[in-house]
Amino acid sequence: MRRDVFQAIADPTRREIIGMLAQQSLNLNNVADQFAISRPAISKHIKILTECGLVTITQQGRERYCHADFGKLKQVADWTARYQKFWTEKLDALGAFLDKEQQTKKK
Amino acid sequence: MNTEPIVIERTYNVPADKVWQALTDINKINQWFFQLEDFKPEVGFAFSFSGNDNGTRVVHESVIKEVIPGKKLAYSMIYKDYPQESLVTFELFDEGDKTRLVLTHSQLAEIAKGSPMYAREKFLGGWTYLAGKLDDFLNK
Repeated sequence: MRRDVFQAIADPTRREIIGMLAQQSLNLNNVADQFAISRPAISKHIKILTECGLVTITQQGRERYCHADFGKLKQVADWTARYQKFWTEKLDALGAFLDKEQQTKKK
Repeated sequence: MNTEPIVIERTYNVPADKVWQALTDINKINQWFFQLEDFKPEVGFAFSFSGNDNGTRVVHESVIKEVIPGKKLAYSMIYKDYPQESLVTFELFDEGDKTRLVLTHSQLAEIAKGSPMYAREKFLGGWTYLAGKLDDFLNK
């Protein structure tokens, strides 16, 4: 199943997790302790966040630490700018092609 | 941070069927868009193309979602290394010997499928929240 950042942030629990990790990296138990829902449920949310690329997990001794990855978020922020440019160029190219085609036909 | 779809409008000095052919005929697509191996304006037809992003080759994968001959073509687009599905829609408006083309590129493909308002609000709420967090983080 494909995962993306938008799926990651669609769920309120996951948003809260990201919010917490934005302040500081936490181990899985610390994260789970902040919520009333079960630990397996939290683990599942974290798994989705890692699959979406928003959270990375590192093993430190016996603890697994979760970190927020803001690079991924920034990438999304750049999305609009990148495709705006892409389509502007492509639609210009389409216009040039249509003009050329029209002129060739007239000749 | 902007979650609005990209909308670009152009008017071309040719009839709509010419623009439609340029969008759907493989021999014409290859002259302005990308070199595709094949293209069929049919719902479910899949194709891929390589774009260039600051010198990096990026592969986009697409599946056609909607076809109204001469009027509308929509396909999903996924950039392989960055699996965020988006939806590209070309709409043609016949203006006699001219054609107005409206291109819409939206990231909200998933949301458009489901219960739109709810999902969109949920999504935007999430986005606004995270954008704030990101700003906080970057300004630390």
